[in-house]
Amino acid sequence: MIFTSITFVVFFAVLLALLGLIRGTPGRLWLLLIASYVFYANWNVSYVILIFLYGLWGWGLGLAMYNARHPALRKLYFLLSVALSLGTLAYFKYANFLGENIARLLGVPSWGAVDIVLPVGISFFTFHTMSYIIDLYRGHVGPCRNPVKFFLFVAFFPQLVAGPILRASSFLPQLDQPVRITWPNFVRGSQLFIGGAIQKTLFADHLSIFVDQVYRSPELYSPGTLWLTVAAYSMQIFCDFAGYSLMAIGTARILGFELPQNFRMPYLSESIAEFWRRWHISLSSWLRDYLYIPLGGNRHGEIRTQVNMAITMLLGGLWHGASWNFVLWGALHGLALAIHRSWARWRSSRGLDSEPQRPGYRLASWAVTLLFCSLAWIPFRSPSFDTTLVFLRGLFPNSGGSFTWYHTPTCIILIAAVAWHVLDRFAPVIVARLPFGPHELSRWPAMLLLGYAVMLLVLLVPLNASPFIYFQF
Amino acid sequence: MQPSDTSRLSGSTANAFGDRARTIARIVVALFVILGGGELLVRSFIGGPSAQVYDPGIGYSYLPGGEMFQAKEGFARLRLNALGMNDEDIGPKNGRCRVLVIGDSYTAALQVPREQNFTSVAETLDRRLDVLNAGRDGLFLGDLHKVRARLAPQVQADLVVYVISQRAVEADIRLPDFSVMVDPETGVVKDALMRVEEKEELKQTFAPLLRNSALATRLASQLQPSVVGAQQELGAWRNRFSPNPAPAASRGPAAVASASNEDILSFMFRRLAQDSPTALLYINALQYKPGRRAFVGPSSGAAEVVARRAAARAGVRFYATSEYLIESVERTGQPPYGFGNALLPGGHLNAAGHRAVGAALAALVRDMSPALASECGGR
Repeated sequence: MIFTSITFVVFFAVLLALLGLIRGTPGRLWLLLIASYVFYANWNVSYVILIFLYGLWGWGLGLAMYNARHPALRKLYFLLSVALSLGTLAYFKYANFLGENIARLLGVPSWGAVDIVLPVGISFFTFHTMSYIIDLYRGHVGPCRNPVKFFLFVAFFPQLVAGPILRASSFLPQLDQPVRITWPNFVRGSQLFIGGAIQKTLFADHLSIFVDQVYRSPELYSPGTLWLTVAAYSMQIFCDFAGYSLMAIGTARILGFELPQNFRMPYLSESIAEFWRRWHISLSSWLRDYLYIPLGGNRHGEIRTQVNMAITMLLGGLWHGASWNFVLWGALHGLALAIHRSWARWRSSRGLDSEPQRPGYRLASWAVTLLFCSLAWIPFRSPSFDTTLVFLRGLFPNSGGSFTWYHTPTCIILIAAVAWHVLDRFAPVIVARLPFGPHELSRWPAMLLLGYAVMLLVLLVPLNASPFIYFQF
Repeated sequence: MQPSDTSRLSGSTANAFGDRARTIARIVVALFVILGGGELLVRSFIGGPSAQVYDPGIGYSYLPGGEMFQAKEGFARLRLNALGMNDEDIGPKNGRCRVLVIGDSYTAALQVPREQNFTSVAETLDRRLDVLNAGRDGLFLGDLHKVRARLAPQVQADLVVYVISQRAVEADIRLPDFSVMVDPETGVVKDALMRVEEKEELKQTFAPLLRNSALATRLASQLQPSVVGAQQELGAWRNRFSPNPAPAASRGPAAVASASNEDILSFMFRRLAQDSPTALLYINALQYKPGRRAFVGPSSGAAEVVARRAAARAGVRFYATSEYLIESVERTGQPPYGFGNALLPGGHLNAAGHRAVGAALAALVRDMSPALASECGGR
């Protein structure tokens, strides 16, 4: 079930109605849990059992670990839970990838691929469960004794299939509060949802029409068209994922829950390190807290820090999918982070970082960061390594194909996106003014803006809407 | 309570009532402003009001004298003639060879200005031709003969050309609404009928609204698939929990399965070739390689072979457009399909594609002229 379908609208309306009928938080939590399973079952009924199992071992082993007297036993439960989560993820997501590559290494001509349907969002609910177990093991959170609450933490439908990645420390306490639907939350949540839907259906889905066609055979298109595709995909993946995140946050907000912010205008970043503080924040902070820091972070010298960053980014790339293209994407970002770190240290050693940066330097930093991030999306989007090479070759003058295609909706969306970023950069007050308060809804600006937003959504949504990109992860 | 308090209370009630009335009035006005703005927006950038008229024979036809605008794929503002065709009003032949072209959206050519479509191009290439465009988007292969029966006597065509594509010869004859009657003993196709879809009747119900409002037309086309999709999904859920789940919908009538595509096509082509000289013009789908090279896609080529064999059995002349389309790619470096605001390549013929097909049509008439009336160069 995707957020931008009529089915979801009906599902959510029925859920709200039922929540209104049920008195008391325990009943409402049960209803939310059942609704979450129904939401997932709409895609695949049999895989609901998988989410249930994640909940079961997360909750059961978590409690067992917490209650264990002997440290070795505690560690055993911890490792068992992590192994179950990662093992399940590895089986569903990486079995064929590993098999193919081992077969290639051993010189076996063909690998008999296992027929596995990848459960939607498995990477997300694996990380939810692991964050709880790790935090519990570290003593950062207390145990969740109520199974309904824990199962709901794992399966909470707004963020179930594409995040934001939840932390037990921020979400479980919310389940201890009364579940209440309030008018201010409803208004704010609806606005966030509409904003996300606009990003997804008006921007990302229209951009995908152009991007998908070019990526199908990049060798046919002229360098100009390929450069436009680079820009278009950068914006598509941002609008697709940030749009989904906003819809998830909005849906949760309507239900009275607060989900973490996942994006903060990442293309305004002036360095690759800043980019990762603004892009998919819930993943980058997860990787930082549960991978980079346990590896040693920056506590063991410069070389070890660089290695830790590289490992984190490589695994972060691989988290997105079982393909060398994702590994390459992660490696590129790891390399860029390493270069940026060295550059920052060099500047620091000369005392240059203490001076306020000149506008020219900041502009150049922003341009280089944006160019790098945009070009790094090429292997991320390409269906194969060969396509990546063809695409990169085609970017140079006189080396691409002859078809020249400057897709009008893409150009309009990119102009709108630039305007939106410029507004956010130079006039954030105006952007901050846009969410209308519940008391302002009967005023002209709110009524017209919301009315036209809904109308544009209905009028311009492409009929063959593409699924959310991050569902596959 | 003091009297003064009572008056204050009634005053505040009146104020609250006034506030509510003002809010309602504001919402109503805002609704009108939003709908009015939406109508303008759609008319300027998306498409015009519906120019379709319910037609019990073929689902719908175009409104005689109607106006069309679309910017979804290409950009065109068109005025239909008195017969509801994307063409000029029909005048006397004046010694010209009159060719009636019937087909689906490739023929209707709603994506390009009229002077750029292939029927106009053919007229420009050969001034002795008077080519009439009787295309209608979504017209099924099984309905082409109905259009001919209606128009041919009125326009006195010397030649009728049916434009067909891979979709027509492969997908159309497998549609659930298409039924083929086969003689159980001989296996010979006896009849082939296309049932008008139920949704077309709705167009009659909502005709006054759709014909006057571009916004309503757009909303109807946008919401229909979502509503159908939601209905199917709800049905699937019902089925999932039903003790007696319904079997999966059958794909087309059983009779179709017993006749080969070639048999069915041959029957339909024979039906098309009654009365006046007839030809089939096949629009090939291309695939591309770098360096301005194009070739006929394997599936399009395979469909062409079947259609060509069926045409030979039916005794109808068959012409393909591949060499003209490929030559266009080599010459222009651009595909003959697709538009800057839609897909490229993909979708319908663009101006370059229409030039190529127009040349193919002119060549077709030249090739057939010995068999045609004197106006067309025949004896």
